[in-house]
Formats: sequence, structure tokens, C-alpha cells
Amino acid sequence: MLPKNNPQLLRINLSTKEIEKKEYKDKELLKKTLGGRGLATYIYINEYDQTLPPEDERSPIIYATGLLTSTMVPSSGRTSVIFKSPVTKSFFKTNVGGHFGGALKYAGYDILIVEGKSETPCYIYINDNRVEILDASDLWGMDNRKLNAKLRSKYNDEELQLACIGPAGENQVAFASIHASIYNAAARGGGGAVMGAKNLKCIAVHGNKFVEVAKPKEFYNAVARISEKMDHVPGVKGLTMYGTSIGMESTNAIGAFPVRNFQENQIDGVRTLTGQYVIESGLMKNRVGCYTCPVSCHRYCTIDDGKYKGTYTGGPEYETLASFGGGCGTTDTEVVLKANEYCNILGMDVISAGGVIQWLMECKQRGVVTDDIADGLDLSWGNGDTIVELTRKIAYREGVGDLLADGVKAAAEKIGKDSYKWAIQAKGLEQSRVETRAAFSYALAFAVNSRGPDHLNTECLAEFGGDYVAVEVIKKITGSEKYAYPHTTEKRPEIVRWHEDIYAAGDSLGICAFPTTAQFWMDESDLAELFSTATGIEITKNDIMEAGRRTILMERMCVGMMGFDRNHDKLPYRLMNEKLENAKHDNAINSHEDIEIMKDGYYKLHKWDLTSGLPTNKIIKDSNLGEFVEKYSKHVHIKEEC
Amino acid sequence: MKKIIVNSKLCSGCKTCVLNCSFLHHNAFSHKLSNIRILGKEERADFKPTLCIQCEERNCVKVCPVEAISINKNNGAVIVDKDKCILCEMCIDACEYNAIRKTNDTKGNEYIAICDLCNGDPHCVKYCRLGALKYE
Repeated sequence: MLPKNNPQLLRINLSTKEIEKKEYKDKELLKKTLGGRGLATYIYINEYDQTLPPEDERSPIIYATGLLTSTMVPSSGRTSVIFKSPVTKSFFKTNVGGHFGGALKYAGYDILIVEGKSETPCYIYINDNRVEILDASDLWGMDNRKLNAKLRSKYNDEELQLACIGPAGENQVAFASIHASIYNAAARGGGGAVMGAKNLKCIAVHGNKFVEVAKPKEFYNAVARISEKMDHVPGVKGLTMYGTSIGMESTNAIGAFPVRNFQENQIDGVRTLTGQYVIESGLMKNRVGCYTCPVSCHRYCTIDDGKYKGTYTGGPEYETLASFGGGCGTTDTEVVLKANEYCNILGMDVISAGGVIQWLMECKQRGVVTDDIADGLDLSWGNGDTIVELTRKIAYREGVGDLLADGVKAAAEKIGKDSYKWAIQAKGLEQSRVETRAAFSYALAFAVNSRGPDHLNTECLAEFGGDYVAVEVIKKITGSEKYAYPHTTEKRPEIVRWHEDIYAAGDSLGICAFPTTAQFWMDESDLAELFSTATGIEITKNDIMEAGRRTILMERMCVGMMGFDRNHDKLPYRLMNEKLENAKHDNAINSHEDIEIMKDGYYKLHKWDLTSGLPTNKIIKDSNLGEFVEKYSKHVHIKEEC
Repeated sequence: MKKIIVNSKLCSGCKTCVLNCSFLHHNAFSHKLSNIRILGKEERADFKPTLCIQCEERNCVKVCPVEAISINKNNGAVIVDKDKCILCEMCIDACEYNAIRKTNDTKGNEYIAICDLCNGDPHCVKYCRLGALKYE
């Protein structure tokens, strides 16, 4: 296994029950992809048909551990999951922390691919060389917590790690998530629905092997140096202390907090939605770390009294508090936590689940629906019981839950009557609760993101210039600190591309996005040093960024081969057509004109075709991916090379 | 003499300590190669760092039938003489703190794993940012 030895692939076909083990010996391939997300995307293009529908049993789901996953590098325990999304019908990369990736690595596999479809519910059990496809009929219907407990008990193994789906995945809810370590999720894009369609309840892994690096002494020194740096960068201690919702009050204060489905940008009483309050109130019982992440930004909370007594769950994150809280018009922390628990154990993405509920509440506000549609639940803004019950109903497709379970785009098409105008989605994906009208790098990043409008392909927090480290990053990218200002289209393409490149490189190595794109205690040089000392293959910081960009290029090639182009690179209707009221700046809208200007700049930087926004054959060849030109050009026809 | 002090309430279960221990002693990474384990219940975020805390009882030393276990006089760490050890597991049974286990090294050889305090600079403590492990 990586990083010292060659990448090992395990491929399991649920239709034929065939199990294949394969080693990738090409060092150049490793150098140009960095392993993980990059290598998985390469294999996906090289060995699969991108034009097949997501539900076709030949469409695979790929679990790719990071190159450094299972080593002691801080925040390196992440796994990318790649599939064709049943929601966006396009390429989708999602990513999960927890402890699953480490276990898969110790079992001897860097990448796991599941193809085919089982006729009956099944699960995969991996214990080193022992790989089995087993009957899951007694596990089907189980929530994630019970499933973990049941299998750990069955195998008498508290170290057993699962990548699993809950009832929402079984019911193919469009935004069903894949869970690792119970409360960590590869949440977006419907990976859980892909597993559900394959009748795959979970992958249970126990690894007994060990992982090595090529240059132990140099590797140790690099890790020690980076660990030291982590402790001296502003923001890391705050993230450990208060989690991802540490900045909720300041986000609200600057008018960048989406409230009531992005109709407003501030909410009274935001304090109860902050990471600080979660601690003060006694709800938080512990901090939780992903594998080898001493930052430990995750929370664990319990509700010990009142209506929701007995609730216990990982979370809440910023997105959970924004989605079920401010977005649904409430500041009731316990409502958010209860909905969070349902998402964690039933297996759903909190952003999309909260997104569809907000949309339905606005449908009532605008007289498009009445409470009758929701089986009598009161759809008024901020009704906690409704928020909680709708979340549960979606997972089981009960009543109105069935309408919402297909995602907000499909629901708006069914309800009609202009409801698409407040369906906060693009490409079929509900937008992260980030107010892009107050942050133009985010706006561009969300528009060009292969996934749709969200922050988990590119995190451009630095554009706010929140601290001196962020300002330095903007200066490094653009040449001037004056561009650490989020209300302009200037230099946004440069900022987005840099962040995409390092994010992709980080994903390939298994590194969390926080060190590379939010708090900046790991830069390109650090990643190059870690890769070089771990693999013994010397690379530079430029190689790191080029490899990240190559991954973005490969993903864009997939987007093109799947039939999409620049026309799909847009933001939700509301954000492009309705100005943010009470904004602190004049141009608080993601106007069509601004978005198109930034897109042009972004495609030009990439040397992609401006008309289609897709890669040309020339840039594919120049990026050392010439082997894919023949396949790509069968599906994508670009008239002019730019 | 300084000892390892565990505060489970501060442990996030990230296992940075586990892999630092594994790497320092074996130049390789695995939870199987570590002298510290994180036990407890993940579902309840209840994490229990488990390792030798240089207890007063020293039952492991007392029960060893071949006198393979001794105490380092300089730092109080438990030392296992691999040449003498017969892998009988009596020390494992005798330890009230669940701090000893039998495992395999990178060559597949079985051995008794106990914290040796890394010559007085325990790496698990060094890289525990949350303060769950202290050496004082």
C-alpha cells in the first residue's frame, strides 16, 4: 500500500461476485495523480464508461483513501468517494473523515471499487485478504448506530470500521449519505442512494497490516515541523475549542448568514446557534477527532432534559446549524440537534435535508401550498416539531417526505407555480448555506464546481482576509493584499483556481481542507515534502499544484463526457436574480453578468474552450493526459482550440 | 518521578498518539504496533486512552514467572526482556489497567507491548494537543 509501496486496488462486483486485486506499479502515474482522489478519478476515466446512467449497475462507486491516510500526519485521515450522482447526473466527488480510511489501508487497500448490483441486500466484509460478500437481509432497515453496534458485536471487534447507509440510502433519498465512524458523512450528491441502488448496506473493514514510508527520518522531521506550525497559526485553537460554528456571530453580523431560505441575511438571537453556546449550554459532551486529527473540530452532544431528552449525536456543524436553524427560521439549538441526529442515524445530508424543508416552508409563506400537503404539520417558519418530523419523514419517504426526498429541484418541478425561484439549487444540488451574494470567490467557485453549488470542492474563506495568514495567501495568489475583499469580481478566477488546485491535491493525499484552504498551516511546499519523504518520489510544490489541477481537469473532462458545459455553471435563481436586502455593500447579487465575467476569466486561466467551458484536446495533452484524448473527443466536440 | 496521567474527558479519539507510538517504536504505522490504545465507545464519543500509567502495584513485575519484566530505575518505565519473555500472558491478566497486550511486530513475531515512556520523552504525550495525556 501507499505511501511507500505501490497502490493496491480491490474491486468487487456485486452482480458477478467477482473479486479482483490489482497493483498499480507505474510511478509516473502516482506522481501525476498523487494517489487518492486523483488516482481514483484517473482510474474512473480509464476503466469506466462515463455515459452510463448513475443507476446502471456498471456504474461504479469508488472509495479512495488518501496517500497519507493511516500515517501520523495531522488531519490526513480522509477518504474520497467518487460516483456518478443520481441527483446531478454528473461526476461527483465527496469526501469523508472518521476512521474508515485508516482501516481500509491497514487491510491492504488504497482504493476500493464496487461495481454491479446485488439482487438482495448485502454487505461486504473485509479482514485483510479475506473479502466476502454477505447477506444483509437482517441488517436492512437498521439505522447507522444500530448497524455499527450489531456488526461490532457479531465480529466481537470494537475496531471494526464501517462505510454504511441508513434507511434513507435504502430508500434512495436523493441526498442520502454514506457514513463512517457513525457520525462522519460523505454526505453530498447521493452516494448513499448509489449504495442503496446496489443493495449494498455497508462495507465493514478490519485491518491488521502496517503502513510504511520511504524515508522515515525525513518524514518524521516534516511532520514535526508541520505540527509545530499548526500550533502557531491563528484559528486552529478556536476550531478545536468551538468547532466549525465558531464564526456564526460574525457571519451574522456582516450580513452573510442565510436565513429563511436565503430571503434574509441575519437572524435575531443567533447566539444559540454558535459553537460557543453549544458548550455554555452543556449540550456538548466531547470533541471528536477524525483519524490522526488532533484539531478535532467535530462535536458530540446530548440532550438530557425536555422534549428531545435522550438525543445523542455527533455535531452540530456550521452547516447543520445554518440549515436546520437560521435557514428554517429557528434559533432553537435542540431542534437542530434532533434533526442532526436523524440525519446521522438515518443517513442524510444535513444541507440538502434542511434545504428542502426551507423551500417547503417558503412555499407555504407564498401561498403555493398549505399545511395539508405536509400531512397537517404546521409549515410556519421556525416550527421545531415540523422541522424534526419532516426530517424523519424524508428518510422513510413518508407522506410529503416522498416529495422532498427527490431533492428540491425535482420537488419544485412537481409543485410548479414559480417555486423554482426559491429552490436554492443548481445542477440539482442544494446550495451550502453560504451567502454567495456576499462572497464573490465563493460565487464563482460554486458556479464552476463539478458537484454543484457547495464549498467542498473549493473553500475560499481567505477572500474575507479574516486574519494575517489569509491576507498573505491572497497576496501570494493575486500579487496584492487589496484583493482580500469579497465584493469584487477582480482576481476571483485566480483565487478560485488556486484553492481548487490545493484542495484537490490535499484530497489526494487525504488531508482535510482546513489545513490547506481555511487556516493555512499546510502549503504546497509542505504537501510536496510529505509526498516526497513518504513515497521516495521527489516532487516539488509546483508538481503538487499541477497534480491538483490535473485532477480538476479530469473531473471537468468527465463533466463534458456526461453531457454538461458552461451553461450549467450557474447559481440558484434567487441568488442570481434577487438582490440581498440590507447588505453592507452595493452589488449584493450574483448577477448573470458578474458570473459570466468571472467564468470567462476562470476558463481562460485553465486554457479551456470559452464557448463550452470545457477542456480542449490541447490542454489535455499538455497536462500529460494525452492517453484520454481519443476517448474524450468521442463525446466532446470543440470547434476551436483556444 | 514523573508518570503518565490520563484525562479521558479530553480525549477526542483521534489516535494521533497511537500512530506516533507505533512509528517511534517500529518505523511503521498500525494500531497493532502501538503501546497505547484508545478503548471506549465511539457511539457515545467516550474515548479511553489506555496505557501503562506506572502504577504503584506493579503486578506485572510480580507475576512474571521468568523475571522478564523489570522497572527502569531512571524513569520508572516497565521494561520487558524479550529474550526472557515466554509470552505466557500472566502480566496481561494481572494488569488492572488493561495496559498490556500481546501483539505482532512488523516481522510477525509476537511480543508483549507495554509503554516504555520513550526514554523519558513519551511521544503520545508530545503530540496530544487536547491535553488528554500528560507526563508530570
